Amino acid sequence: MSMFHNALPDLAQGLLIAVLATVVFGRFVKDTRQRLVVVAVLVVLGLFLPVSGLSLAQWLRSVVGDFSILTLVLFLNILAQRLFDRNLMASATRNNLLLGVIPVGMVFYPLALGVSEFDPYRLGYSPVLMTAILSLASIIAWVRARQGLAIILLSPLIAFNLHLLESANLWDYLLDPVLLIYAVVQSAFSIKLLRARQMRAQ
Amino acid sequence: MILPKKYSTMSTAAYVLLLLAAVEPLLYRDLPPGTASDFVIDSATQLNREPASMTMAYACEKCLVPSVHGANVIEKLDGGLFATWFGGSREGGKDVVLWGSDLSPGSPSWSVPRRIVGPGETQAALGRYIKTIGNSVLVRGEQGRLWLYYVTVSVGGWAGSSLNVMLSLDDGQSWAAPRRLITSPFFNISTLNKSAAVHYGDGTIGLPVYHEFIGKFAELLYLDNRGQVLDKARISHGRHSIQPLVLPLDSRQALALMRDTGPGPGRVLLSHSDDAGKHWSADERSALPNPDSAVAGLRRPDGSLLLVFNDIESGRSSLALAVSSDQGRSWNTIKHFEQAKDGKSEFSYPYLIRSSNGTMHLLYTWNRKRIRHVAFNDDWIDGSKP
Repeated sequence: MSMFHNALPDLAQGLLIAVLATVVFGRFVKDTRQRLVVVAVLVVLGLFLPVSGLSLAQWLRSVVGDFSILTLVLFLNILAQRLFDRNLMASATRNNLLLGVIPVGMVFYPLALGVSEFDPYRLGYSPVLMTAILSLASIIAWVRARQGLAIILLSPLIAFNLHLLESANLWDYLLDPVLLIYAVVQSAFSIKLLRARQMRAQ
Repeated sequence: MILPKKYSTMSTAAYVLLLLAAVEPLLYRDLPPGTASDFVIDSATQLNREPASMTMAYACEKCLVPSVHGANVIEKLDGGLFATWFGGSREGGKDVVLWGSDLSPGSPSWSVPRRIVGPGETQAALGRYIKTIGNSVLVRGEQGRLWLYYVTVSVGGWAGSSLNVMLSLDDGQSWAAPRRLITSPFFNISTLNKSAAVHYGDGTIGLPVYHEFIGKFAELLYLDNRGQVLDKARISHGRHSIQPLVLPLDSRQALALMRDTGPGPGRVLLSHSDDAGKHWSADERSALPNPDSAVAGLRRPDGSLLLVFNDIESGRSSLALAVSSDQGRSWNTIKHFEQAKDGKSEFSYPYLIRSSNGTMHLLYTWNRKRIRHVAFNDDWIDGSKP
């Protein structure tokens, strides 16, 4: 078993705490350096301060479970934007990723939860087909000069091969319910924003 | 292939390395073997012919806690028995732990129940909040290893459950720290076990499991000899079939019998596999009543099947034994272990094994207060009248 089985998921919860802290305190702490300090303190407390026997990160993990690699990439991107004023991925890359997650998730979860006799989750245990599809999608993205998307599409495969999470199923490296919810909310927000801009332009 | 001009040789080389790392298992390594080989079934074909015998006792009569449920049992390496069940102030309570007890060879009574594992140890090992403990199933692995697969809940009721596993190298006396199995993509919730595992020729274990969140359906989970999930096969789908019992009929064929959670009157649900559990037929209703309760059973060396079930339309106050000589197409109810007339008594969650000397051992919940143990042999079955 990999020593990262608990290290990476706990770190992922630390990232969630950082994202939440950044979003909440970002409105009140305008100075970037001060914001970074506040978030760092909260993350350290969240990871190590025990509350009824568990850290806040472990309590969060009990409720929301482990995150996929794509979710972690998006968390990192949010933190880079809000704490360091940098983009790890272009807006278009993020939007394409989120728009891809929605139809996949909407079909995947009902089927995986027993709606029909076909179980797509099973494909993730010996993921020859999934590996081929993701690799092909990555190559296409690379050829079309979408470097960020090409690398992001490979990241779940590489993490799966390194057994970085508890799961032995590639789907758990690729997708999680939090990512689907985030994709739906963020896409709805983006569409609303786009419509508002169009209205203003008219 | 024409690459965009803005890519340098370095970035292209780096990307190719990442791509190779991503597809590396396809190029250099074997992927997990996936679905396993044929079933291992008892090579004996004759029944043990001994004078008819049946004894009723309790695996726990004084169970130390007010409520006990969900017992299972396995034959120990020395020929004795080891059973586990969950118990506490009430089902789902925070004080519920797994209890275990031994029946040594030749001993007339089971040992005083001992604590096996509880929410505290599981929480410490998993780094997650654990609210309560549920069903458990003991599985014999290779080299005498004893695996204990058990259900825990962090949030909500049984629909929020997940599976965990512990290993014992001394036949149940001590256990390694538990580990969580990832068996569902949706917050890894709603996987439970109830019935005995099936074994495959390559050492793979097939653990019957079921789900209770949104869908209520049955699966066969494939595990390797390290307790790692390899694959799974869906036995049923929809919202009406849980707690599968998988009975291999020969090396390739198997029959699954399931609890009916659909609108009543319930019937024991059946599904067939002709490829050692890789694929299953659409479930069908048998003639056997099922009051939304678990069943237990086994295949005997002569190919006949035994089924222990609540043979009534509602409640769990009657527990019967049925036999099938035609691979589950028809069943004859031949004996009752319990038949209370009050309609309130509960005799439920049967678990049936056949030990190496041919004796059948049945454990079940007795009014949530005790775990009943019934031992009987082939002649008691074949000489029985309803």
